[in-house]
Amino acid sequence: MLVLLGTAAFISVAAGSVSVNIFAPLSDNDSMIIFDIRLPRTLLAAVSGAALAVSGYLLQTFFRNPIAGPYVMGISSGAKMTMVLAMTFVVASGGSMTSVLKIVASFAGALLSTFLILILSFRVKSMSVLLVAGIMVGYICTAVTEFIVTFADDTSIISLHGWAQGGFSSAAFPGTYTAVILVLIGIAGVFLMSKPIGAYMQGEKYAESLGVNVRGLQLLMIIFSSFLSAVVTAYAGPVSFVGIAVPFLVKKLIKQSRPIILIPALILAGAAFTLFCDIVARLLFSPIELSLSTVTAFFGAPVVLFIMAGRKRGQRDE
Amino acid sequence: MSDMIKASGISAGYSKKTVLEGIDFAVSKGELISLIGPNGAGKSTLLHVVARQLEAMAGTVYISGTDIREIKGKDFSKKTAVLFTARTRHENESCFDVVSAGRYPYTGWFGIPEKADIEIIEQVMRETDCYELRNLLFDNLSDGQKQRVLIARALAQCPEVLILDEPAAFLDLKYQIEMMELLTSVAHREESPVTVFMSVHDLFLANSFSDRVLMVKDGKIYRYGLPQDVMKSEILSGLYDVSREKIEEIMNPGGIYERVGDKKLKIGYTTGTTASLASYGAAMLLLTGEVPDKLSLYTPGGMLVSVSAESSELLEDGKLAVCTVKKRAGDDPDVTDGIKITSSVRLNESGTVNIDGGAGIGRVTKPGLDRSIGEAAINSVPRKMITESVIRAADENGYEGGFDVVISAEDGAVRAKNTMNPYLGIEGGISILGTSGIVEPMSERAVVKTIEVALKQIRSEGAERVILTPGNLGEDFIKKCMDPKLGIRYARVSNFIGDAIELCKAGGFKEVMLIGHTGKLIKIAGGAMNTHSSYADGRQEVIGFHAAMCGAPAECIKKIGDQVTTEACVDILKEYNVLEAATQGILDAIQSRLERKAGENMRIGALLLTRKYGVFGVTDKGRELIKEWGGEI
Repeated sequence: MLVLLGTAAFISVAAGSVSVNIFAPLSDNDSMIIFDIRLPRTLLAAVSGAALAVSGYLLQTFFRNPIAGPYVMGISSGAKMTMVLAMTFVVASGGSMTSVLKIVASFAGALLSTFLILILSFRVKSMSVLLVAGIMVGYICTAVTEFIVTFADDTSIISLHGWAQGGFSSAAFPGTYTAVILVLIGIAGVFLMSKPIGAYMQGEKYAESLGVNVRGLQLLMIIFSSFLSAVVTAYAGPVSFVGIAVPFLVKKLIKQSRPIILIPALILAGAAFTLFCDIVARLLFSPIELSLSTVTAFFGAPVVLFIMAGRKRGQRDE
Repeated sequence: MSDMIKASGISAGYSKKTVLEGIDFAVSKGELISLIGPNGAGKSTLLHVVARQLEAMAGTVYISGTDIREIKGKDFSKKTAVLFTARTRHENESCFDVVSAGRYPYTGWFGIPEKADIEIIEQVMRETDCYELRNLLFDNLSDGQKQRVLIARALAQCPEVLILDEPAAFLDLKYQIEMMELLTSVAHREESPVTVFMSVHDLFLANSFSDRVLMVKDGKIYRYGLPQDVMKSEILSGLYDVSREKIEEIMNPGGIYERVGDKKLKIGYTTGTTASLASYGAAMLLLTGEVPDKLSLYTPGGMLVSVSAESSELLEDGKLAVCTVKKRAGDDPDVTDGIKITSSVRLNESGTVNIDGGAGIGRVTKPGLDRSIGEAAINSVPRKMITESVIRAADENGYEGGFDVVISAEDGAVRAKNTMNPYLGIEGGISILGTSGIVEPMSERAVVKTIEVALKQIRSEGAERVILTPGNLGEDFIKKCMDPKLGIRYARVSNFIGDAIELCKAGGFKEVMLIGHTGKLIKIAGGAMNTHSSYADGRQEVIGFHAAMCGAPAECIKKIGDQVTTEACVDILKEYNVLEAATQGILDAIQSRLERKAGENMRIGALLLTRKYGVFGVTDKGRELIKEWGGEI
């Protein structure tokens, strides 16, 4: 998996609409392309992928549902909504979006929709109904977003549009650093929780009997999951399906469930998958860029269909 | 404090609804306690309170003497493991992974099991017989295997207390038994026994495997005690609001069981009971047009027998009903085991119940039996049972007339050749004798074992006096002549008089009294210590010998030789005026035989009864003993 990630990172840096021979001594221009455009972009893509995969994994564990994920459950849309709201507001009042503001805004949105889903999840126990609920929450958020966009200034709309498609094209170093650091903090936090998460996977009541503070753990899982997807959404817009597809594929591949092994694997695989999708988005119709979500959806959505179809009959929705 | 679990004054519930109130109980170390009761009685709530997953509204739970609220989270899970019903998917988890989750309270920050942990995990997996499953995915296992793995997970916590909610749910009978045996073995093991506290719905499991049963109804403790004391139909019927008969039916499918030491013996039912069941079925068929699914009746001994009819038919335009029931002799197969008894019933207007024997039922040809010559060999006890059962059918259907009942037995004539009937002068078929209506298992070793258990029990209560009796006649007499307040206990010893005396001697009894039917005990005078007729008879010989000793003429001795029952012999002795003298001779002979058997450290006496005349005689020592004990003859 490390090799896969390395290869993807290499391609990501080496290839682009302008061909650069990275093995030859670099010209100033090429060096700028590599260090100021491609490297940050590669880094951001990798880190975002890792964050989304871990965020998805937390949600799946929390809801005991393999197709829970930040995108399908409307969490990304929630983050997007508050981001748009904040952007329009700030831009309209003549200011500009800082990294911190972006993250705070999208984190608030992510938490908002997560808790909405959470409230719903107390009422409906069925996996598919919960999924539909998530999609509905997503639609509501999107509708609000559209509403804001319709009445927003033209200038903000342009930047909004590019952002809302999802992608790493805006990656630049200072912002990227912030994102990378935040994601690393988030992932580290999750990694430290791997023992109680492992117990939680044995069942809530059982975990409680082992002395796990289940309520506290659940709250942490939700906060970390929202935080991770919020950071990604703040920098790259809503990216679809990575949170579902990567954990599913990784579990299939390594046949392991212990969080202590699974989480590192998810980080690597999430990064590799997203980089790969980003490369496809950039290069397939180069120099025209596809939106990242288009590519991740193309690879990720079939995985969701596959999970749903592959579930054994009579298996209980819990 | 020696109690492993102690609950005092527990009240608990959810939001404002109180489910449990004033619960007090204690469980000792290494006990397996089953919690039973109707749905909604508060079983689960109680388990959750003890497992500290629900805080009690009032009262305290102590685990090995410590208030559970004062135990820290992880320390609590080192003492107490739980297994609740909720099923969780364990995607990609191997059984080893699942079991290693049980080491949670012992492992470090990242939960990586160390060498010692792995050893414990492997040990509990071997113990629960799932070691070979360790690399398989948990989700792919059968329910029974899953349950074993989950129990292993709980045991991996090295707990002192194991709390399980309905562990038998989802399991088939085989797995249920396997699981219960596993739980019993961890509870009863020598080294670090695990106290098991679990709820079950299955009364069999609760009855067979628990050390004690805790019954909960309407949020209160209904009963708490040993299974043999509380798993009784009258208690269960109150617990579940279900009729006693239904409980008996469910608890005793295909026969009634008696516990002998650690083994269960199946008790059958007599031919008389079989005939009564068939008669009830036939009467019901006649009166309602159908035979009930289960034919049930309480035997004179007070036990419920419940069976299905083999076949039934309405004949002669619904005027004659026949119903057949198969006899089961239980674990004491005799010649009549499996015999099909048919009852043919007609209504009559006289209002009486007339009983006769048909094909396969013997006829009396010699005097001295319960019935007169020419009558069917169905004694008065079974006649009474048959009469009662058809009258019950009449009462249930508002019928006030009488019945003509004819009992017949398939292959009765053939089977009777292997019985004592030819010698007793009963010809043409089997006889229906019956006293208690129940055939108690008579497998020899088992019976001696039963006697041993019974005597030990009596001795363990500190008694040094005991009465031995072969059967029902003696038992009835004891109940009359020995005021229960005297505290004299008795043991049924069947034909095993000699064995029973040996056991009394070995058990340290000081005074032993033998009370029973003359027909049996008289054999002791001839030196027979096992009075079963297949070992020794010699009754006429004993009576004849003693009559001759008293000067009875040869003619009298010859007459005695022709009799089939001791009662008839008594009449002859009377006729020749030697009854008293001969009786004394017989009693003295019995006394000396008994003393020889009993040895010097035990006083022994005997009292002989006949059905017709009551007390036949008491040996000198017997009279002395009864007087000393405060009994009345």
